[in-house]
Amino acid sequence: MMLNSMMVVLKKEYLQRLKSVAFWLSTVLLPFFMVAMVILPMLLMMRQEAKFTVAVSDPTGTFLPAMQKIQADTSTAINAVKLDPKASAMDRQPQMDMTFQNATGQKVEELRAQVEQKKLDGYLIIPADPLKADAFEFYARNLSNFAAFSHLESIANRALFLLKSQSLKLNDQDRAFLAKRIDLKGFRIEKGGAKEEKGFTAFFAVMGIFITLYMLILIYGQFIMRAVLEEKTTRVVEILASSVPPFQLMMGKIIGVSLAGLTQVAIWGTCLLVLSAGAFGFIASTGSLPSLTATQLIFFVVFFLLGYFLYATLYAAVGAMFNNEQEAQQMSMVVVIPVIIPVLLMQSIITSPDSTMSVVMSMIPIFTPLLMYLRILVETPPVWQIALSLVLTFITLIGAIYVCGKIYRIGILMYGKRPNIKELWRWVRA
Amino acid sequence: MITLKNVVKSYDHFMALKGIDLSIPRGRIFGLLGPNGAGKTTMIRILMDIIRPDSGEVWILDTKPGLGIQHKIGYLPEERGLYRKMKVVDHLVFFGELKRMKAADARRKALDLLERFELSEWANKKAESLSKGMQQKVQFIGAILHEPEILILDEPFSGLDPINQELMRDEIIRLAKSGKTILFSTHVLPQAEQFIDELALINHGQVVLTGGLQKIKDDYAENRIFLRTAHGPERLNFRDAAIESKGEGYSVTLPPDVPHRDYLKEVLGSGVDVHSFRPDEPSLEEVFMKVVKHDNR
Repeated sequence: MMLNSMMVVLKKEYLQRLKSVAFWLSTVLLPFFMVAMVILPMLLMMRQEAKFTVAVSDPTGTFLPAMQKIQADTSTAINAVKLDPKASAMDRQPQMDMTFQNATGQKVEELRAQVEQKKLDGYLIIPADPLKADAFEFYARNLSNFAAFSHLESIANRALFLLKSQSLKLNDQDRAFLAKRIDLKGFRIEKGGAKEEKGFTAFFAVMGIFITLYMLILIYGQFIMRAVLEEKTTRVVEILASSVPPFQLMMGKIIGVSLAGLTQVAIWGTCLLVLSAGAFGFIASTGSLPSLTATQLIFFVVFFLLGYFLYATLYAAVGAMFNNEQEAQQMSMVVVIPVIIPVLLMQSIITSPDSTMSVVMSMIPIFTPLLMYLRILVETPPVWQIALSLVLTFITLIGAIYVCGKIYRIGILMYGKRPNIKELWRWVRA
Repeated sequence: MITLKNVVKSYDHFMALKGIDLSIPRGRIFGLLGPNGAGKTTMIRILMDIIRPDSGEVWILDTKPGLGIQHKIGYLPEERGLYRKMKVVDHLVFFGELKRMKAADARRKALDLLERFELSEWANKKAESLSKGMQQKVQFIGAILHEPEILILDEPFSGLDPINQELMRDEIIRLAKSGKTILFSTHVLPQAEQFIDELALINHGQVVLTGGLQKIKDDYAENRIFLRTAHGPERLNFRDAAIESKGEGYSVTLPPDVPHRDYLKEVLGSGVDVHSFRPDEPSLEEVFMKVVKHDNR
């Protein structure tokens, strides 16, 4: 079958990407990288088992035994969950091996010296009347160990509760009744109903999808710049320019590379479906897989295409302006900045997706593909906002294709000194 | 076949072409000669519709240059290159498809031509593993793969060793004999004059000389013979001849009114042993130097 020249270029760009080792490596490795960046640090922190020795100065003589009992009971409970085959991964807590030594009567200077000499990790000062105190003081070398700090605080509070309930002469049954906590279950409201979702995993799911979109736009946009530069530096562009009109050459490259990106997204989407069906128990049981509705999936594709085309067009122009990658990288930083800004605003938008700042920033065409999609993930904005942002971005895209197409047409055959703004303007008006 | 009428092209304030009038007939090997910066590549790029002239008319195959006839033209640009990581045969299929060939046909033809140019074993190698000469042969194959009616070659011999230059020359002659029209620019004048039919000499953006090769040589011929003898030049000093050592013999320039035979009669009559003699035509290089020097004054 004969293809027109733009389709020939498109086919070549698409197949070239698919045949490359880098494509398949990134298809396999990028999801792992995303997990590592987003979830792994948290999981590692949660799963860290450590030994911690705390000296307790307890003038009452009752608080320390209560803490030791609570610690022993906690360890027993954790071990029991570990042995329970029905327990989910999120239920399995890390074992915080915290040992409490009796330091009653020891001077503070002595305790401080032992901490400095690493014979102790820290020491806790129990006040004379702990049942009426507002705070206990804990001294340690490392207060950044959030898990240990949090564990000690929990043990101390539970010991306090135990002693308070004993002072009120409550029996075990009453104590258990008072201590019973509720779990907060989260349900995400969607059209037609509500779906249970863990807030923790919802947050990471949103972050994961957003970062994926951001990286795809950035990586594939830069592919275009490198492809244009390669054709310039190897002079292949002379042959191409004689066979393909420059605009068709540019669009063939951009569309071909975008199809490679969509292929990668399709592979990830398929894998996600398989994993969601319970193929991997750990991941399925955590509920930490991002579950996209059909609407969110469609918008992912739409905003990926809009964002990618917008930035790919800009990158094509950057590649055409310069003679080598070193020169082009300096200008490409200017293109990267509007992609980075949404990442900086991510947290604010997740927290307040309907704030004035969130609405305004998501309407600015260069930010729309990332920020409007982020808002859709968190809490679907009004339809008119989505529609308006799409229209504005599309108009901007057409303008960018026109301007960048002009720069590309002339730039690909120009060598030598870098064009200044005046020259670029002349190229656009030519 | 190819016609340019008063074609003008300038870059900023530099006039690259100052009104080119040229006609290239069908089925000829046409040489486009000229010093560096004369405007040859600009003219070729206009023919290929890579750039547009500021004014004037350009006709190829009775049509204006553009997409409509690109598939009938094979082009080898002066600045040439290949995708470093792409296989040789994939390059040729890509170039063939750009010229409206079907992929399967392009692949089959590419493998045939690679064999003819002794590059079969490199078909599935990446372009970066080929030497410069081999890459140029691949690019040449890319230009002729789709059997174009017109072949436009910009400096096709540059960078090639003598063996490959001869290979390319033989291929150009073969294509011309099969009815193709070939336009090429070159600085390798001794090579070019062995096989071009017609030429145009461009200098400072203008055509300063055009016509058939033999006619031009005849027009610029001086009354000159070349002879070989074991004797020294002092034995050849007759009829106000100017004698110049040339290769293994002497180039003797006679006054315009002195026939060759009269001079030779006198030389032989003086007892000089002449091994061989022939009329000494100017080389294309000599014509080139004479015309460019005159034009630059």
